[in-house]
Amino acid sequence: MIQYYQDPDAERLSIALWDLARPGRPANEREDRMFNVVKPLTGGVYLEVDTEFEFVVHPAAVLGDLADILQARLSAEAIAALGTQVVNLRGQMVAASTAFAQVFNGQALPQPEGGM
Amino acid sequence: MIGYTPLPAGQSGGITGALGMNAWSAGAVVDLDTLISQGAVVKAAYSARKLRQGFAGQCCKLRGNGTGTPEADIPFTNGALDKSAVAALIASGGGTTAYWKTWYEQSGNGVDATQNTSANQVNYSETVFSTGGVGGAAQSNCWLESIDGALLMAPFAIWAVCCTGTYAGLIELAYFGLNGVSRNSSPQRRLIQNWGVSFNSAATGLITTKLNLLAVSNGASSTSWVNGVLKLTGDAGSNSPSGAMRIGASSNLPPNSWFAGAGASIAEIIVFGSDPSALPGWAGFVAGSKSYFGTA
Repeated sequence: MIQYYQDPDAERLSIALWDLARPGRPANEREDRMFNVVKPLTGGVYLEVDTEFEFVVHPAAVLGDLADILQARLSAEAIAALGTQVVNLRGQMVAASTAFAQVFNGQALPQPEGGM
Repeated sequence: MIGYTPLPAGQSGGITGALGMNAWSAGAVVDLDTLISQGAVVKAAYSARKLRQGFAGQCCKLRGNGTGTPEADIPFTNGALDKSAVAALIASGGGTTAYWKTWYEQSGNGVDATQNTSANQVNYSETVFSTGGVGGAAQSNCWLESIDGALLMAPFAIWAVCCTGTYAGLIELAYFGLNGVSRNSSPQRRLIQNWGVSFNSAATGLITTKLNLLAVSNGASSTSWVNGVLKLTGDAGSNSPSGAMRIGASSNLPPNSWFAGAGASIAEIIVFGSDPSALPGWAGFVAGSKSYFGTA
């Protein structure tokens, strides 16, 4: 299922999420990301989350840029807990939408507000 | 293996048997170079086989789904996609499958088809085409995309080797001309909302369970052809990108339920700048392709 989350940091968030699978990527892969980012003419920036998408958390994964991105919306304690969660999930196949649900901003929408 | 073999000037071309190998290899017998020498203009060429003698690049870049999320460039071996390299990629992380990240373009125009968003990458499969192909499993919202200002400026024609999911077991070679698609104000939808040229049974036309090959181009008087049959005509507008192609299945397409069914796969796409079917080598090209991919 595809869900949309309005998030001005969607691009950075998507790249930071992919860092959990492939940290330390070479320069030509730095823009690789986990989920698509949609920018309808009606306004806003949306993260397009495929709830069925799974990946293996890298054995050396750390919270990384996610911590900076999430500072504005999560408490320091919540971010620290997320960091612990990343470490605990190393080597495991997870669905980002459930394993790291707290990183997604606000309400999940079936499509961007005002349509595509 | 039977394939088309280029012969020296002054001799007629033809189909050769297993012992009549051409200068490439037993496995790669398509003679795209001959078509080009006869006047064919190739704007883009993607394949699970090496299409041109002089192409020195890789076939594709794939991502495995195992630990470490390995990626690897997959080379050609004897003109064919190196399936052992794919197997090694998958095994290296203890994974179970691989996905297409880049399908390298062989014409020299440098318009690789790519997908850097992992959740949108298309399955790699050898179940439909033993040569390796795009798709295979049921998927939605997954595609490879190439964009170039001159790639698909109308008119153009597309040759593809594909199999549809709706018609299980049906493998067809589709050849059609296409001129112009898309009329939508959203930048995102411009690329993907179009007069979808889809690979399916020529008898039924456009259907909704398939692996799509979608193309976008400018053109006020636009037409879409499938297997030589005119499917759609009208004004596609002029606000679309100057050239783009999307290979795969997207849930963003109208209707939103469009997806690629299991068994749908694409193993080769060549975008020509004009109709190549009248060229002397075309019949041999088609015959060699059918033989190589095992299509009827």
